[in-house]
Amino acid sequence: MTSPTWDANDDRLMDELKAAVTEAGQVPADVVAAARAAFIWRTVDEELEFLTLTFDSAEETALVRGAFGSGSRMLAFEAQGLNIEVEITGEHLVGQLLPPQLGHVRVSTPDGNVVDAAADEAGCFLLARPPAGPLRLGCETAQARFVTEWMPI
Amino acid sequence: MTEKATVAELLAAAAAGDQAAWEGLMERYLPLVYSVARRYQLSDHDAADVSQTLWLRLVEHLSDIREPCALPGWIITTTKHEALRVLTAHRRTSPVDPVVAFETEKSDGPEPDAELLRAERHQALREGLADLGTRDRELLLILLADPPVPYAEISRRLQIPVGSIGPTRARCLNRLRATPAIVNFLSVAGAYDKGGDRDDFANVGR
Repeated sequence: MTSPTWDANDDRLMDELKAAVTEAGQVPADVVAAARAAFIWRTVDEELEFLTLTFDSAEETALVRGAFGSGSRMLAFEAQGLNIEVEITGEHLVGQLLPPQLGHVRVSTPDGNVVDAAADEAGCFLLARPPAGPLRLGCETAQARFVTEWMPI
Repeated sequence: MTEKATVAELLAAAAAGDQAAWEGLMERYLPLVYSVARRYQLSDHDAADVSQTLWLRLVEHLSDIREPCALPGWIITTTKHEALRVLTAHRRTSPVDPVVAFETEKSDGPEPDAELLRAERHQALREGLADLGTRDRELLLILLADPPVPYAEISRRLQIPVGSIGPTRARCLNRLRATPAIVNFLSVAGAYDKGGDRDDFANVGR
């Protein structure tokens, strides 16, 4: 059982309370500002279908990591009737819609910047990688409009 | 939005577009998010990205959260998961220290996770402190001040006799232990050890 020792000890409780209160004062101003700004996304993409992450090379064990070139990351997403595979390199997002189909793909950053590109008949697309920070992919096909969760890259 | 708004009220108001309620959620949970993100030896920059990602996800799930009690668990689980992914992804682009890699993977296993429990404990303490009456909270905060405030000064500021400060502190701490946040925390403490998985807050997901 891990009941904290301060359960019965006032001095220990005060020590831990101090640590807890101090911790709250250590969140940097830019982290606070980013959390505040996230609220503008409340209704932006609410009508879109979610693409679920089904593969992330960052989650593979060290043994198979070598299968992908160092410096790039593979991600796969899935929704009803659509899969997206994408490789993120230092400068680009290179990917494919599956089954192959025409579409429009975009990558968004939290500040509202969007980079977009067409997917060709083979479903292939190439996007410039945003400089830094979390991003999300969006996709519009003849059938529907999709979006992934936000993810730090 | 009153200071005593419950998490359920904050979630409902934020889902309806109330920025002040969103700030209330931030005030309550930002230290938790950031302390969990920082735990994984991420750079300041990566920890900031993980925190930002958590808040971007929360804003889209505001109206899906059926069980407000599950929110801290969801926050801890999601932040930890994203932090570990960033850590692994970025480590692949730099030389790997096998010992560090092993320690990191180990810490993600079903072992008791002392650091996460500590983050959760601190969260409960901050919430308990917020639940206390103003005078109790004032006394505890002044006693925690660094550098320490002399008892004579505390006596003058809070208008209590120097001889009462010690006994009053003891009563305040007992009231802190009796706050819903602390009672609830103590009743579930050890869930990690028992193999209980805080992942089962699926109510939050889509």
